[in-house]
Amino acid sequence: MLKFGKTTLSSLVLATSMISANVVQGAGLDLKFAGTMDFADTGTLFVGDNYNGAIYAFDMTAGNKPDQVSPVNIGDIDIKIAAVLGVSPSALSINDMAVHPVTSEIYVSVTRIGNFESAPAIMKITQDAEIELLDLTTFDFQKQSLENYPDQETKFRPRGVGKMPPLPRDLAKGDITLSSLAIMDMEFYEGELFVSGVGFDNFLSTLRRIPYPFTGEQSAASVEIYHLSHDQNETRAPIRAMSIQEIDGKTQLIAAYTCSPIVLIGLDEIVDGAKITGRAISDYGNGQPLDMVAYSMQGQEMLFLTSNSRSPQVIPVASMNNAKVYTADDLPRGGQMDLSPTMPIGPIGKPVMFDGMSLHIDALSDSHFVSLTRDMFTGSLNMDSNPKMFPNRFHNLVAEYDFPQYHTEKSK
Amino acid sequence: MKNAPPKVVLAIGFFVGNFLSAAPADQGSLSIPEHRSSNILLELQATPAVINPSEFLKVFVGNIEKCCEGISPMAGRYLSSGAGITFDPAFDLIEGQNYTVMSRGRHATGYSEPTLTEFIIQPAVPTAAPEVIAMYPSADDIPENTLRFYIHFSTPMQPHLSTKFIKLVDAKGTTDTAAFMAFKQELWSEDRKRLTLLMDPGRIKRGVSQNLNLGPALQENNRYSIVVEDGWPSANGMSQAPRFEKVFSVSQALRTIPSTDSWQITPPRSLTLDPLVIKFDRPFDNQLSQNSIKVLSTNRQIIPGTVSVENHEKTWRFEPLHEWTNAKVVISVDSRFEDVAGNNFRDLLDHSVDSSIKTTDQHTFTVELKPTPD
Repeated sequence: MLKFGKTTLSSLVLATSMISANVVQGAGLDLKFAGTMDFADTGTLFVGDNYNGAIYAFDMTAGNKPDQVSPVNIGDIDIKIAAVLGVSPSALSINDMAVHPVTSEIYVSVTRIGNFESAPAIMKITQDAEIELLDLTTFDFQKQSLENYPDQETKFRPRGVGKMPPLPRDLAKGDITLSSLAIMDMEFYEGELFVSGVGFDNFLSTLRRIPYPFTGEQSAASVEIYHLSHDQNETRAPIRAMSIQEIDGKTQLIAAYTCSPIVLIGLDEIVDGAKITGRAISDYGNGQPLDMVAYSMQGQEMLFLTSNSRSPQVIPVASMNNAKVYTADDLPRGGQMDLSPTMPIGPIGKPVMFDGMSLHIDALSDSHFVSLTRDMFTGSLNMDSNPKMFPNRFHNLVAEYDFPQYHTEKSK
Repeated sequence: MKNAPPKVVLAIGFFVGNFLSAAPADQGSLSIPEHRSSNILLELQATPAVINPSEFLKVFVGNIEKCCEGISPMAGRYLSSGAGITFDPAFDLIEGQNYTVMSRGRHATGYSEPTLTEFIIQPAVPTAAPEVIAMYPSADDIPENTLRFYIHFSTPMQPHLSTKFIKLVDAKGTTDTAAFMAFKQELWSEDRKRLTLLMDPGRIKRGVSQNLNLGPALQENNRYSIVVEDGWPSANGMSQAPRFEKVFSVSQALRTIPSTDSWQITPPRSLTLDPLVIKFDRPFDNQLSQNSIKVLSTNRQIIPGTVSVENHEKTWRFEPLHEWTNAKVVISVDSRFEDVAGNNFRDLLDHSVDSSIKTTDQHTFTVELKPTPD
């Protein structure tokens, strides 16, 4: 944790109301890992800590709205964040990114890997594209420990592809604990925080709902789905990315899974101890979802869904109304892959061009996304502001417009 | 720990500035950190009351050649006092990482030109040379059926080399290549400073094929050495351990189940910090001795204290953290506690096929404390 935090802790005032055994308020900040983040509308920042099995809520509501939101573009942002943290870029791991809904400042959660220990840090990128290390101890916060948290020992079982034996990088998966997926995505909706991830001992895919301000009350439900392309019911792999929207006149959670069904779950179904069956309505093709950003474009509510293996998918929320729910008997038996005639299936919107791969993306303004984008050719990691209508940069493209003669001719 | 002398490069502007200014410049005196948690201090002869300290002192990650265009300085906190400016980095510095300090002093008409100073925090590890610092059992005379040896090193060591470096040699100088168990995984402590070496139990257990074919590795009345050959590299690969040899003679095998009845207890006096001392009837496993015996109050609460094992693993000594307050204490011995031959309170390592195994988990007995001294 930040060294200079130690002295400021004593000045925090201990709130007296609503303290239960597993809610800490105002005591020493013991954050061990800054992972998944989400903002409440007024600017409270939720941070998932997979090491402590807890969610921290930092009061960052003090900021002001800028007159106009500027696009932010920072090349080689990983090198620049590492410089502020006093390490080489290889000692930095970027975990998540979220935009403050009021100030439009961009927050990036990272892990700083030291000689003997790793430390969490959250960077703030201002509207002037300045990178600052946030002193988290200067904020009031609440901590909510998660019940039914998975153990921190069980690890994934590595596999190769087909009959090929696993490569060293496949085997490395065997060093990753299941609990690293315990806080996968968070969505704040009308006074409650919804959290997807793995939980419990065997029935792993879990949806939690936690009222905020934290009271100690929390619900955890297990989620089962029919996985269209695997042709089986699944209970383990968690929801990777989600959004809460009105569909069929009901508030529903839209959940994106790996390889890659999209599933609807009514918020009223998320009850403590429940075993929910999600309704699979579509599959846009193989891959692992990264982020699902809700935004409006031309008066229409849209979802921008990124993947580690495909172009982003833009899906109109309204297209999910009256969607057919697929079950095991609706499709030919056996696994379905990208090239199977049945795929893609359901309301999936359209894939859109995106130069490079977005590791994390969020809505920055009415007109722009902000993305941490891996450049395909240089491997550099850049923070780009991408227009929502056409989320691209052109440095890796050479088209007719890049020829000087084209412009000479046009100007005649 | 010794630092490489800091490389100092002065910007050309610094000389120009010095020639032109009438008053002598206060270039400041920079203290370079030596440890990961050190601060960086710039002493100035007179620190102005209101300054922006980052104008005088900034620390950048990376070497001097790359510094400092387009790079943000490291995050941290500035403290300024009459003596100068201190920069307290937000996180500990990284061993082996280059850093460059940009510092500057003042002269009559403003700041002097910045000086760049590169430094690196040397890793602390190489200062301790690897060597064998202890071997257990530590006695010069050990039972024929000794099961387990512990070799303690001063630093973490490279694994998978024990069969190459460790040998059992008899008095004639003949090496027994099949004395120790060969595992796929060596038995290292978590910090890789303690290696557990098991005699092949097949050589110890009478009547099993290894024992019949090769005989016991250790034979009563003979002398042997365990040798750790010269050249075993430390975990960081930077230096190698010198040769180590431990000579011992072999005495009669231990073939009875241990019993706490054969132990001699020296009770402490109430309201003192006297140690509670147990003299064993035989040497016990050094590692297991550290945590197999607990001292409890009569209502079974653990009494905190520190354990030491002495007299070639035949004496167990417990120093309480606080003065003894109870009239009696309970000693609880884990029944898996083993003597050096692997015999525990349930059965012998080399028991006959038809012998019964005791099923108790704990052996307990009560010790009455002596009266408080006047």
